[in-house]
Amino acid sequence: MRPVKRNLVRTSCLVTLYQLRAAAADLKTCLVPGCIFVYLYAAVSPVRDFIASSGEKAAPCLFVFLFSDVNLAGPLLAGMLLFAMDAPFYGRDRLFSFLRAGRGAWVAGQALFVPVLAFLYTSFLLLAGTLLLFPGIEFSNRWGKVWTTLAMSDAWAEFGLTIRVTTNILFNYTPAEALAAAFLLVFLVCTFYGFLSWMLNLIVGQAASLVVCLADIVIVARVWYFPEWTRNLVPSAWTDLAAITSGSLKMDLAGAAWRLGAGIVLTAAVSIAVTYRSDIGK
Amino acid sequence: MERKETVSAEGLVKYFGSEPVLRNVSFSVEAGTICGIIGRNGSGKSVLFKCLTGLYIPDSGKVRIDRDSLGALIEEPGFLLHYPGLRNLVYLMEIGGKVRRDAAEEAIRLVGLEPGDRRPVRKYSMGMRQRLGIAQAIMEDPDILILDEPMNGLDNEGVRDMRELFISLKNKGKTLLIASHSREDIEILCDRVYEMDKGRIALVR
Ligand SMILES: Nc1ncnc2c1ncn2[C@@H]1O[C@H](COP(=O)(O)OP(=O)(O)OP(=O)(O)O)[C@@H](O)[C@H]1O
Ligand SMILES: [Mg+2]
Repeated sequence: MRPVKRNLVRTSCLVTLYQLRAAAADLKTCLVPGCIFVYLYAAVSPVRDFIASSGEKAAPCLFVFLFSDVNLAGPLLAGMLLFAMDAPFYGRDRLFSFLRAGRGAWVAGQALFVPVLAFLYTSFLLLAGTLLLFPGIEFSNRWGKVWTTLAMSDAWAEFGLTIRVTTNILFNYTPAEALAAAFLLVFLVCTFYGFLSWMLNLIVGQAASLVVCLADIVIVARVWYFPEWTRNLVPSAWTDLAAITSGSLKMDLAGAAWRLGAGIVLTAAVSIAVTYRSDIGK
Repeated sequence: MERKETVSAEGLVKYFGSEPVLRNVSFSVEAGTICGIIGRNGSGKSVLFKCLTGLYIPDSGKVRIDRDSLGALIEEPGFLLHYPGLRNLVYLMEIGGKVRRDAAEEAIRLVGLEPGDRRPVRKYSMGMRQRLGIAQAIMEDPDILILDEPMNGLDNEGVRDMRELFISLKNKGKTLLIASHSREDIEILCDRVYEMDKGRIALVR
């Protein structure tokens, strides 16, 4: 007999925790961040070279600029998609948790798992952005010589940087603010693609869902050659704080955040409602 | 004296696409008895159990069951393979709202496993996983047990132990619903037997 009256919120959190425990040993959990890290390591080596040659230390802000390189943004978001593509996370090992949580809390726990995954993945990118510049890192809340020089001079061309350090970020934000803003954008975009892939999994099946989401993410690399207004339609382009700050996107930070928020609420609502009404564990 | 029916289904219908898998299934189980369900492969036993536990939603019909006091094992036991058996059971108890480590250990002992076994479930044999699945079903002392082919993969000794276990549970007033392919298990254990055939159910004895 289970004597304790179950609390929906608490039980959902426990279901999410159970999902995390299951994910902890998934090969994918090590493989995806591992590959992304190696990929990033190569991609940002010009920044390391520049820092080394300047003899200065940089504030740990690489994360802010990662998504300004459209060829980096695609793979980074695709990494999140690899985690989200299994949503809703029916596995054989989920039946026992379902029986104990009940349908409502179980589906809510699945839903909570998506932003938790997005948060962890974004945190990983933030951490990677810091680790990759070691030992040229200095924890300070001033932009400092490294980022200022990269923004103001043509050193970026000389060193072959693919990321763009733009002055309008330096003028509008302190490093901490820029990191917070970039974190918010990446977190929201990852959460959105998590729910989008869940919703499409239910409606058009996993294969088609993956194709649609990947296309939407890869298009970010192409969209720069399209007319400018098209960027406003592709959420994966909104991770670039520089584009938002410079006004090349027709939205400010708050505008991007509420659009993404609305997208998340919509896709999550459809995903949850459809899952709640379906058979669990096919 | 009228006995209480703890599990019952009325007119259950379930389709997969245009394929009917349950066709108007009605049956009931009296409290404190063991009810057996037999039937050929693909006759719908597991689907019926999934409807009873709430995993599947029937297209029409009614299920009456107290899901707050229900233990179940349906098809293969699914655990988190990288954790030891006891840890798996404790994590599941957590979701149910109350962790009683001693009860989990006791359940593991009851099915003939070793609570102190630190090996991950990945390294368990099929029969050991099955035993752990049964421990999972009984550990919270539920009043109703739904067991889909519980003897799957068990050795002779295991089958004997489980029969004893199920009968002792029944003697404690628990209600059991068991699907099985073994005539012998059904003969020995069950007070009432239903047979499923292509989604229809009929009382056999
Ligand atoms: N998720 C599903 N989607 C589509 N068809 C399904 C699904 N689950 C079961 N079926 C079909 O329902 C029918 C009944 O399956 P079920 O698993 O209930 O059989 P069973 O009586 O348990 O058989 P067995 O003795 O082999 O365990 C089968 O024809 C099966 O193909
Ligand atoms: Mg079956």
